[in-house]
Amino acid sequence: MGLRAAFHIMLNDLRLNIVSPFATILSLVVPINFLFLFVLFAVGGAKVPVSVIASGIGEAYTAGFLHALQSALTFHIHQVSTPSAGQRLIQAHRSVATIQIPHGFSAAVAQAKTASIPLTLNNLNHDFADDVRRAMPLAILNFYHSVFPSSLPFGWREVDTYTHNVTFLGYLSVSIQTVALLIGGLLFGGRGAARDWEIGTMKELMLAPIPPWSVVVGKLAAGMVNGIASAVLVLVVLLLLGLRPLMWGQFIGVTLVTLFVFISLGVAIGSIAKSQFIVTPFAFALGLPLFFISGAFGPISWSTPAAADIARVFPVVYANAAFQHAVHGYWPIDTSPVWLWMILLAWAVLALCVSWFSYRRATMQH
Amino acid sequence: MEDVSLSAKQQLPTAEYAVEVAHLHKEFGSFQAVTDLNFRIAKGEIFGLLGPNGSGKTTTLNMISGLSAPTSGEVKVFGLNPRKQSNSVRRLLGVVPQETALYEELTAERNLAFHAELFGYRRRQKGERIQAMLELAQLQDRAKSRVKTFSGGMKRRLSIGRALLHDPWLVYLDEPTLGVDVQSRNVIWDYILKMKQEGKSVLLTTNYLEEANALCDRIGIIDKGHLIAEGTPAALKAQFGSSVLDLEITGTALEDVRELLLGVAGVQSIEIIENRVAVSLASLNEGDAGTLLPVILRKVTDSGGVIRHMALREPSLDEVFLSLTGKGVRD
Amino acid sequence: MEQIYSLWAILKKDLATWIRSPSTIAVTILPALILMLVLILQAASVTGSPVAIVNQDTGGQAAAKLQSIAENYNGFYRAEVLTKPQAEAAFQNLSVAGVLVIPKGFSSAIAAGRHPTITWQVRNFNNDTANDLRRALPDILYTFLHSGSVGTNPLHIQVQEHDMHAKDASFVGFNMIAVVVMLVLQAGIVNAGLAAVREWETGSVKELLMSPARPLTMILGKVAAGVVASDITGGVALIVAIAAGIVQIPSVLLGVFALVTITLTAIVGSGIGVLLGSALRATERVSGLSISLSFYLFFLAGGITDVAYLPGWLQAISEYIPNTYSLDALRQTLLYGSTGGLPLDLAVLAIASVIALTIGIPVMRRGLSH
Repeated sequence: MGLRAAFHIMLNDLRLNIVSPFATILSLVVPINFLFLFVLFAVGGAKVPVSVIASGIGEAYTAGFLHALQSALTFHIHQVSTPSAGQRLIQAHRSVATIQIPHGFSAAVAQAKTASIPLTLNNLNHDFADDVRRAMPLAILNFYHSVFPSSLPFGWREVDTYTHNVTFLGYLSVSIQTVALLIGGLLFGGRGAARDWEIGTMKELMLAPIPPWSVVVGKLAAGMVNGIASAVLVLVVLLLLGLRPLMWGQFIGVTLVTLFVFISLGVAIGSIAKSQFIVTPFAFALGLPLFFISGAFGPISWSTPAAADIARVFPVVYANAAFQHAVHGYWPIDTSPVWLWMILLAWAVLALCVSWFSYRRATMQH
Repeated sequence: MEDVSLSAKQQLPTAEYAVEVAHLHKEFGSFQAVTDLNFRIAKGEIFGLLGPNGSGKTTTLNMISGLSAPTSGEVKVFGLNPRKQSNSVRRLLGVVPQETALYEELTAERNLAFHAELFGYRRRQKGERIQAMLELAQLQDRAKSRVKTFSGGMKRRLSIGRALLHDPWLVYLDEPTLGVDVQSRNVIWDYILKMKQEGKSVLLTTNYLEEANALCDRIGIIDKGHLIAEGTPAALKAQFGSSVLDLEITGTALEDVRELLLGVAGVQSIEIIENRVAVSLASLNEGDAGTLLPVILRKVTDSGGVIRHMALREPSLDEVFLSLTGKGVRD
Repeated sequence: MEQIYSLWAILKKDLATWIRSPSTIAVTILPALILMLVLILQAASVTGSPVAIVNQDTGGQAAAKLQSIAENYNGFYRAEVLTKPQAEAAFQNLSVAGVLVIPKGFSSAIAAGRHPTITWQVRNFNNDTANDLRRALPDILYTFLHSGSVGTNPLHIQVQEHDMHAKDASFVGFNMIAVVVMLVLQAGIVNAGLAAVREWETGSVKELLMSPARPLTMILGKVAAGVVASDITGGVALIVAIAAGIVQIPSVLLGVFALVTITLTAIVGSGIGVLLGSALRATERVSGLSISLSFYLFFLAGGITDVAYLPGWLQAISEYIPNTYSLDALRQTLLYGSTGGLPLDLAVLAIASVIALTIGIPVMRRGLSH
């Protein structure tokens, strides 16, 4: 009886979503919106656009230095022929600096004389300007390392832990998938629970001869259906970005657990707030800071200890690590997988209890 | 009104009363919402609960429906405890909330179907009940329309249909005709009377005293958590006085007239309403009319007052309410 | 004249409503607040990663110098000197992101011209954190060579830097301008949008329709109210930024140009708002959609970076986003104290305002006649 009622409550909630498609589409695309916006955020922070004027390109060391600039892990290089062309690109917001490798550079280098590299820098702000200033010594050293290795009194060698390099976008997109489920879950759970209070139909549910848990289960189930639909949309975008999970089972498992945790918490917030208008800003206010401190860009153990300690309390960091593992094959966290899963499952139980007590409290106070 | 039977033959419980409330208390912290409340609603009776806003009506009804636990005292619905036997009580109880509380985005039929599903109706029976209630609410041709396109009266009818769908024996209607046009009001009154005919008990709250007067077998007046009067409309009116003499007077201060008349034997109380005094008279027998009325009129004219208009009538429930609670029912 | 009175009346009423509805103000400043939060968190999170330094050449002078340079390198969040096993353990349990190993006999090998090899172990979870580490080592070695600890500096290339602005603007100031642009745009969209919606939701549109005010007057009144509200919001944000020392006080002329830019941005925002409000006619929808919309407009315009940093396809889009020009004009006037590029920026914004109103007015007129 209780399960049947829960099933009908779920169907009713889903039906309500279908008959007001605008709000539903808006909620369903919230996570994907997030993904798009952060991708825009991430591509904005990519390489520094500069113009290079290689005046003596035929000369032996000019090409070598140009190559060193290209491999300095910093620049996106437009080759131009004159300084004024470089200046025009700066004015047109196509580059932020002009680097000139002048005539005579090659000869000076060959003769171990001082060779000057004029750099015109549009120092938009301190951080951006420093990126360029730091990259120049790097290029110079790399140049000598490749052209005159014996002139340097030592050598160096980089040992990478993983053979494949995951791009910034690849890593960040997976983190965004986590925050998308977080915010989406809170919204779906919260709005579904708040709606019945708002329109007064909660009384209809409270006065029906059904156990109270069936209302909570029905709301959670409707939230899960919405959440899964939304997660599928996000997954499609991840696949389009070329990110294919290595471990599908784990990927689906973390998706479901994360959704469950945040939909349950959403139901709790919705029951307490009793207003959809409050649920939305709350979801964002909770979601965004958590996203930033929960290893969105790299392991939390590399970030500020206070922020990492806060992050360890919440499930986001564990969910994110499990997602990164499912997609990229490594665990970017210092918690063992067994512990991690136990924490996630404990959160699921806790969130369920919180949603149950919040619902009971809301109906008691009535 | 369509000749549709309201009931699907859920057996009438054997308990003596539909509702029994005994020494009921409810406190919210230090606030006494309901104090020592006692009343009973018989089977097949229409009982009206009247009181100003915040008087404790909703708290009482929440305790009757089992949504809220009494601090002390007892509530029984058909002999059952609404908290301990909540599912049985909910099956016997139909609620028409004031704010109708329908899913506005869904169709009328869907709203009824969801209610049927919550009450465990299956396929064929569910369909039959929905059809019957659509017919009852005279909404067959609008079954597939979204509720948000309905008028206030249509929503109220649908809400009543929904409350009756599971064939309850006690129907609670909260302000059933608030904001409804006269035509719909008459239809709703007919429903309520028909419920009674079918043996259902009705608990009604209303701000319209003429509604209580027209429908209710008995009325309870509740104020500040206390039941301050209970009885048939006629008995309550008799408490106020058997007749009221309305006098429209000019040429003298009405306050003086009141002072003057309060001393007359047979005058129970006097209310001043605008330029008029309403004199309530204790039991007025044939003979008394001949002696009491001339006394009053003479007193007025002697004081210099000119009587422009006079009428003898029955007291209204409004006056009963006002005299008992000190304020109007809509305050 | 009568129409001007009506316009004034509508403007006053809309502004009074705006100031009295906290939820509208909340929706107005929410995106800017979120953005500021993101910026603060981002600024806090780009401090680099923690690393370990293993110096196996105890007692060697060159090794000690290199160790000291690496320890003090400002691109690391934290650099600890550890033994090899400690560093290995720290690397394994992710408490450090990289391990720099100066090999045994490093100093004597350099002295003897034997070219010892430094090892740099990098946890390459992703290119962002890994590239920071990859860039760090050559940077450290460059400083090491310049320090003179290994004899004559073999590097003969010198960079002659010429900066286009006398002083580097601060990262926070740079982004504060972006926050102001977003605030102004969002204030325009929300205020004009919700002001339009409110008329339908409360039914007061009838009152307007029964008045002698022409539809055009009503719309201009709403846009004017949106613009005033936006200017107030943006102005307050700028004053706060100036008071906090994030942005410097501009000259009168530049200040006027900044105000014109803000006002034109507000007109564009209000035009979009009227359009949204008339089309959606529900508070929830307008507030929900406007937040997403202003974020998109913001990021598509280069947002917290500069258009130059965007990929080509985004640069192409950003040329058609009006706030690209607002951002440029405000950065020029308020950060760099220049009027360079201002004529183009202001011309584009003026045209965009006209377009927004030319589309918005008939849409609202049609809405009113329903």
